[in-house]
Amino acid sequence: MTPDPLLRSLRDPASMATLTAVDWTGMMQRARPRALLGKLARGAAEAGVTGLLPAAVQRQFASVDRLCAYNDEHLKAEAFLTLHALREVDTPVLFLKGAAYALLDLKVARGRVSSDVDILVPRDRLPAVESALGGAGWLGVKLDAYDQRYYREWMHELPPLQHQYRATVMDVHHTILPLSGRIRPDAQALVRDAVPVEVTGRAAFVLQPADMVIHAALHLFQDGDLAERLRELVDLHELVGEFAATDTAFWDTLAGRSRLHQAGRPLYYAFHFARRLLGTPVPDRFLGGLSPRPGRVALAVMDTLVPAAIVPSLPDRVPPGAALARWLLFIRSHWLRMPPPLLARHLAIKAWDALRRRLG
Amino acid sequence: MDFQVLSRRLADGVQLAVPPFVVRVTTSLRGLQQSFHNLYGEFDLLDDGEAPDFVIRVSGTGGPHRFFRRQAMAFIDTPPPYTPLPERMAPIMFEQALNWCVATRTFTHLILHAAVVAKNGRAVIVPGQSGQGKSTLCAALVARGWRHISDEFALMDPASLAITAHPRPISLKNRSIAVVAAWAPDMAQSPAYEGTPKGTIGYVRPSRAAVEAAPEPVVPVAVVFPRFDPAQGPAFDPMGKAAAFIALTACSVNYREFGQAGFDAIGRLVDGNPVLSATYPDTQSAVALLEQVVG
Repeated sequence: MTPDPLLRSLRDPASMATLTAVDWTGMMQRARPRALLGKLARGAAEAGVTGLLPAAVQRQFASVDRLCAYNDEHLKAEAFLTLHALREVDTPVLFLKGAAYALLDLKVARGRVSSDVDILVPRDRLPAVESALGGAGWLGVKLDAYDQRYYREWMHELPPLQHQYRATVMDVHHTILPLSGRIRPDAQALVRDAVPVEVTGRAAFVLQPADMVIHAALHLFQDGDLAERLRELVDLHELVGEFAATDTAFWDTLAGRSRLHQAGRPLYYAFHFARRLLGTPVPDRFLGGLSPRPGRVALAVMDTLVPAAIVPSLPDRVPPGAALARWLLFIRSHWLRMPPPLLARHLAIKAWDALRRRLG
Repeated sequence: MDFQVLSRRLADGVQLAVPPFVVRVTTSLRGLQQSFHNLYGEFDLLDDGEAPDFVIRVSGTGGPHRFFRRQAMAFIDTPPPYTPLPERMAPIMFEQALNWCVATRTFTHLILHAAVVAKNGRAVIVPGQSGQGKSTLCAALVARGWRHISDEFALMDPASLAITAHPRPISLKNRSIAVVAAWAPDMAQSPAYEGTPKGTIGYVRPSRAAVEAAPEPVVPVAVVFPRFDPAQGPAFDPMGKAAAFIALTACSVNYREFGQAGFDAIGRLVDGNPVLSATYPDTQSAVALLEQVVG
């Protein structure tokens, strides 16, 4: 059993009944900024231990439950409004991440406090989609010319949109990894094999379960810096828990889709660390069959860095080891995101911008 | 409590009961410790076995500018949306941080940005943005024996409409500091902090009675929107139900998150109680108007 109360509470929610006030003080400060409070609250409720917790914790859990319930309704309403805005555009609309989890009422949606909307459309429909969303009030956040180009040429999504009145943030994707990166998921297959979902009488889609898991794993281990992003690993843990329980062929399908999307390495990391940190039941056969897989040295390095980086720290007491691990993984994320010449150019431009801002 | 003891405990971090919450406060700033000794003197310190709702640490900001301008900042677990203040204003920094925690993290109650006072168990909600006189009126009524429920947030149960008391130092701004001092010379006030972003700010120390009564919720019998106007009144204008509904939803900080339950709660509050707009030229007539409201 792990001695970190946060990891232990996520793995074994019933153990929250034994935590001391000092444990709670630290754990709530680490969990809340990283959107884990809702997960803890839900875990305690499902384990039937909420009533045994300190009064302050019960109050904060009740508050975060209300917030999560609101976000769930909010995401469903925003999904409807998105489809309404796109009603004249001839395109399939796929909802990703939180919106998809909410629309499917997946277990992972409960206790999630995120309220951003993510959609995916085929790349050739982007201009029509962007213009229709703009007409409905979703406007691009102000970016300079370089950042605009960065998104439109090299990224997997448009620059973020924000609704002018409701302030909801929306990311419009056309694939699930930056175009400049080394792994190219099959964007056409994502759309072709999507699953229909009804949103208050309107037709939309979500990724098929295996693609949903691959997206979450890529986001965390191929496109992300991993810093304090334990919440996303918990999402993965809950997604596969539910999918594997309802579909006996799930792991085989996932293995197949991972070859299609070239996602072997990031999937390996995702499940290696989900198993190690959260106790996710992953079949050895599945992990052993993934290809390509990280080499022995890479895995040893990641084994040192990831647990230190991904588990949230106390805000004013970041251990030097965690800070170093986060810095190294930040560099890794950029390395994976762009080939070296492009990366050098990107960093030079960003450094020049920062210098200019400092000099006023 | 002895100041030396309080000072030591604050430096290490101490759990303070600020009903209905437990707040863990850590500060080594002498000025803030002294202000705590004064303004929170009637509140209970809890032992470390009590888990806190909110954790707030107030300290100097460090950096090279501390040598010519000492600043204080309240740190919580996320970067807060406010900027440091000069160190002598650390008590304001703390109140601001706690207000922010309460307003953005509490969804057990529908929160109205309002003062609440009660007489004989009959509570009046006095909503209003800062500067409209709700805190002044709250202090003036408390000085005349009304129960101090809250000067900033009405924490309302959306089902029963009962209000949970959240007594805190009553924040007075600019002219109202002298108005309250003249109206109630015996009421303990903090030193006035001049030159804050909102002008001069002073606080009224909550009484032991207010703190002890806090666990007991109250039921609202009226809503009064205050308006100070030296040239008019005193007068009451009953507000139309639709206007009252809209005004109350606008002054709720978490109405959106309650959805249907929030809509129903404000609807019942407006249907079941008079909602009045009160105009008054001075404290005397304002207090008389409110006495009339609770009968």
